[in-house]
Amino acid sequence: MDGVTDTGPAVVFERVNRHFGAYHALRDIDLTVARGEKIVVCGPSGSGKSTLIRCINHLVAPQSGRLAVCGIAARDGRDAVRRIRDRVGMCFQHFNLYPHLSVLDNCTLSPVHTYRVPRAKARATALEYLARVGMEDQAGKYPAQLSGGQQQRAAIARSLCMKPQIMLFDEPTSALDPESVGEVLGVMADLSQAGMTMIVVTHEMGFAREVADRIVFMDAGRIVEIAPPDDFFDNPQHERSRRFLERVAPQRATAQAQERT
Amino acid sequence: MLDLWLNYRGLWLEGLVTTASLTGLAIVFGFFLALPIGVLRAKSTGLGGWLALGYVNVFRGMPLLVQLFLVYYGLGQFNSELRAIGLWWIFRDAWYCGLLALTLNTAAYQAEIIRGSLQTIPASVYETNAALNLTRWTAFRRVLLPIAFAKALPAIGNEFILLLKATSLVAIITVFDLMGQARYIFSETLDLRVYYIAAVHYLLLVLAIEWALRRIERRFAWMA
Repeated sequence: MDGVTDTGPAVVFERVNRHFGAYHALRDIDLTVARGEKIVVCGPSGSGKSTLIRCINHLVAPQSGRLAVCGIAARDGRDAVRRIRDRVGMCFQHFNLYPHLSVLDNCTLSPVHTYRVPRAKARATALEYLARVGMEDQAGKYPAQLSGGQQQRAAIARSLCMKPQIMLFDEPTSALDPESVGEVLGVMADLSQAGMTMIVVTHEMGFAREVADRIVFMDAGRIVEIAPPDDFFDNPQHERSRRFLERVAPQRATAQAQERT
Repeated sequence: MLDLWLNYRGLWLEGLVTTASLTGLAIVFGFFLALPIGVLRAKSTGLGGWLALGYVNVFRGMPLLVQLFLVYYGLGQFNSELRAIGLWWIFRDAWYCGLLALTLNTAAYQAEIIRGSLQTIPASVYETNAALNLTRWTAFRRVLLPIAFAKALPAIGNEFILLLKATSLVAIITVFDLMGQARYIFSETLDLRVYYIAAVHYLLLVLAIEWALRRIERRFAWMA
């Protein structure tokens, strides 16, 4: 939001490592995400997916290697992390809307207080984004009055109000009932159509196949495989990916196994 | 028993006003004093945290009655010094001394309530503040404080009721609160029923506080 035109890759990881005590959460991560690219990160639980995307906006700080977001590395000066977060929006598994604020106030809190946007303008922007996620008529409600799907859509609108260049989604549909999953994935698909750079941790393999440009498959803190979705789902290169796919999409895997024989 | 109230209704009402105003002012002043102390307890590991812990230990570690004596009789010893710095009007007057001791005392308890509720704010709230690039002040003022206050409300309500009943101790340092009036009227009438009348006044005040708290807590329904 500081008016700098950024060019070059959205995110570059070079041999990034992160430990939590003795636990090695990220091992030598190398990944470059281009502008406008949609990446889906998948893998078994504990594989480091969440840690990976949390590094991008420095909710988790990488311990070694190089990580540049929109060309900014965290060690580029005191306010580098702040400048990175200016450019990165994030949606959480449990939505994390502020319970004491209405949907509209959730959306305008940071623009008004961090970025000094005049309140009327911030409200207008917020209502615009709320309309985009189909939530404009719920703007006055509190999070507790909304369904999970509505809360997640409001959280997406709140992130968009920061005018991010990159959107991170950390299992955005994992806490939703099956009926709400579709409405949130729909909003995310719209966002990807509009050209947003998106990095999504999800177990929704249908969404991954349709929206992703590349799938990043992780296991035990390593990136095992990076491939376009068709290649990844139809012809995984690694034994570990194959076993994972058999478990998350059993029918397809069996069908393919039968085809092969 | 009604005659005992009616004959002295002026005194009873004065006592009621004294008790209610002491309690109300002490809880509010105490809250604002407790706020920085509670925040330091929750956040500071340095000198501030130690000082806050010291405050809490001193004022929670002594009986309120002892604190009332120390303020009214103890500090009263320094009357020439207090006159010199222009604070004698506080320490000359039992009502002010009572208010001061009650405020200092409830602040220690409320600081611990505030510390507790700040510490139960989940990590996800801090992550959201970071992801939204909130400044430290905005995060504190607009997010952490309102959530902590809502969490603290039932415990502060409890403290309010405890403090109301604790104010009866100020009668010992010559304040004519409800208990003070009861003792005076007893000395006039030698009728033990005056203490029933005092008790009923306290009970009604507690019921009024509970009613008010229920209304306030309803406004914080989002906390659930």
